[in-house]
Amino acid sequence: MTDLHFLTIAEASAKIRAKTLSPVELTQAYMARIKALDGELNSHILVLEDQALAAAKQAEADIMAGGWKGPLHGIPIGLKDIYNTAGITTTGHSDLFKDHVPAEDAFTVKCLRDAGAIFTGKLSTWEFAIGGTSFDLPWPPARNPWDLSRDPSGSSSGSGAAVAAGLCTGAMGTDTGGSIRGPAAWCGIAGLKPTYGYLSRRGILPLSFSLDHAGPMCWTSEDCALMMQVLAQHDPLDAANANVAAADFTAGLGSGLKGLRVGVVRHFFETDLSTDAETIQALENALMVLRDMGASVGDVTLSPFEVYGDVGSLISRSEAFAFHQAWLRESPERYGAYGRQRLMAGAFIAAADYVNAQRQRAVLVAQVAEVMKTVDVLVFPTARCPAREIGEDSMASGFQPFFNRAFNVTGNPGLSICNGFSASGLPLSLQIGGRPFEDALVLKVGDALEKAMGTRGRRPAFAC
Amino acid sequence: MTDIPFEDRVKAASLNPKPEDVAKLQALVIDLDRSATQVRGPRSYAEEPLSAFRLTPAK
Repeated sequence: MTDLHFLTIAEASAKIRAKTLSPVELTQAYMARIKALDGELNSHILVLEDQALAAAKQAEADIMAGGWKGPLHGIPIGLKDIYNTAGITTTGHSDLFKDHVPAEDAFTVKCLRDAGAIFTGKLSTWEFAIGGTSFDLPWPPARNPWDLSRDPSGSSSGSGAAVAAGLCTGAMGTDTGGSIRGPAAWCGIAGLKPTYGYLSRRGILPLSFSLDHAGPMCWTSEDCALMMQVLAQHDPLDAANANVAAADFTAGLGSGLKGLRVGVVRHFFETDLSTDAETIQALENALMVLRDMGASVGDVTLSPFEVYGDVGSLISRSEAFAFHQAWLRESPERYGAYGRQRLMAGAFIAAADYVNAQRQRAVLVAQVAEVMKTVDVLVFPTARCPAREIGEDSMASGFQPFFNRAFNVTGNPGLSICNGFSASGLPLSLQIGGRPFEDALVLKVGDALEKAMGTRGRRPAFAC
Repeated sequence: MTDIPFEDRVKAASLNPKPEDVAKLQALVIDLDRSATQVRGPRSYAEEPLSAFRLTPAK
């Protein structure tokens, strides 16, 4: 029998619904795991043991009384610590916010709470989702469970590490420039950056208003679909939230990929940015599997990846500075060095350059839409290489490990899945992009690949 | 165009970074300056920013 802590949401939910697994038993299993492993993994800023066990007891009572609410009822979920939680600190992993106690839950937290999810803890992040892997903050940075000397990436670092190590069944992350998909890639899990506006951002500490996305991070694409089923609710108080009828994110799972048109953005990883050989070989293997499942596969051309990087950097740094400027001027010492430097840099962008970046962004959105008239999904690696040593400061050194920015700039959905393992045992990754609001199709492709390639049977040795 | 010393740009922005921040901050700003040059090319006036918005009439 699978250890309780390695059950997927789908598996645990089926047992809970059948009353063969108690949410209390499941939550206790995770609390024991956190106590045993998180001293080294550092995935949690705050463990919500008392609240989680109380909620689990309530869920158990409700379910035993015939009040099963759905697939997330009684499921332990971790929250990146930039999601507001009523009455519970939301620190942004920063000294500046270490005593910040919101009065209300973020909208997405409320969605999860109403669905019966159990919150196990507030998870590590890069400071305010931008600061990089830092050692000068009130809490240490999360580490990669596949190799504790490696970086889990960020900014949803604790979410990626905790899910991969079996410290929660699923987690919430956020993604402004790749912060869900990067840790998903390096920690070997599934992470969805939904279509911009599909999920509410209200009650999440902002980084960049027009690039921020909330999204699920789970062991499987199927679990991300189960979370999206609850999360995709219209929030009229979030200016960017689209008022669209939510898809059924699980309905298409398992129905095959015959006739799917796959566009490979080959120039990203062959011309634009050098990519390691194992990552490219794993991508070619996945393309063969897609062909075997009846998909047609061909190359497509977008703008060079650097264009997305330039546009994304100008917009995200400008918007982030707009939010942080008062604190940066009044109390810069309360930030870690990386966060302070990266946020201050936004002060030097001219208004005209910000506007022109938004004009170029409109061109890129239209270009991707045009290409996606000819294909149903886009694929390329999520990461150019497996996880790097912790402490290597990618941003300061100019090394960009990921191909994530494109879909933050255009708003298209992007899913990172585990695409096998390197010879050294580190996860490799694949990204699947779709048309706006076709997140369900992206999840369907991810689910099909995970099942066909059999990547979900291997967990980090540290966690076993 | 005269190059403005980085220290003067920092002062003009009313920022007070720690001395050990300055070199890294300057490197980040140089990178953003390079990004900015990539979006400054000639454009049609019809190319509007993505932040242009659409209002709907009151019901």
